[in-house]
Amino acid sequence: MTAELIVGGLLWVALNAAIGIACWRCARWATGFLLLGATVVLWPVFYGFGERVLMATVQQMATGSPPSIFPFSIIAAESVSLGYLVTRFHQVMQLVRYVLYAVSFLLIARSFKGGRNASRPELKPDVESNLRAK
Amino acid sequence: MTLFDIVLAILMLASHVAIVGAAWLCRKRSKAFLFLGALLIGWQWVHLAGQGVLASVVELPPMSEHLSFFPFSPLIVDAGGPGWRSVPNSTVRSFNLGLDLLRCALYAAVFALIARSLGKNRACDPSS
Repeated sequence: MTAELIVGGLLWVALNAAIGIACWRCARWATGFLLLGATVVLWPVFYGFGERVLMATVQQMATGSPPSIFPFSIIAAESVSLGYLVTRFHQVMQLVRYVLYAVSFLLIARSFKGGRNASRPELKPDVESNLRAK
Repeated sequence: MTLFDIVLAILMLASHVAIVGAAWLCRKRSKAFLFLGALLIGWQWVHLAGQGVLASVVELPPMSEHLSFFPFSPLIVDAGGPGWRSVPNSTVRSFNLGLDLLRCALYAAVFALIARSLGKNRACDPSS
């Protein structure tokens, strides 16, 4: 089982590296790919970390020592239930992820609609002005 | 339903519409953008379905034939009780890892397709 997890983990790193490289290559045509790649690769890691912190706090609350920091303090004050907080956490994380996807995809679409130069980012401004002068 | 739920639903819908619209606008550059849009929106349903299957086989009552067929049957092991079967934590972890690997592989393939077709378009473009 450990070997399976190690192989799976290595494969996961390799695939994420492939996504990163492909996005880096695509970023020559539209910089929105950088944000999209970062969201696809890094967001699940960030989400997993947040989920672990939440679950650790839930465990801590189950043992009878509720943390005094927000938003857990509102559970201690019995304003909301623990289930409500966990559900809201997942919903808000999902929403942020989709907003990031939408913003990066719109940035990509905008770069492609931006005209000829949007697809030719390798042209330096001085080269471009020389071409125009000719 | 609270105001928070309504705002959340509207924002979610707006982001989905934006993704579909952007994919449609980019389709002339590469058809792979349509796949990317479908993957961005559709993966959450695949993930939900996977989690639903996992949740339904985590603990099965005695004599239940529910989802005890291939490919789900390897997930199920004897729980030790009289006829009860369940899924061990390590299997759940492997299942989640497999699902995540599938997601990464699909994204890598779509991004590679996009990079390839954008490169090809640029090579064919006489202005570049």
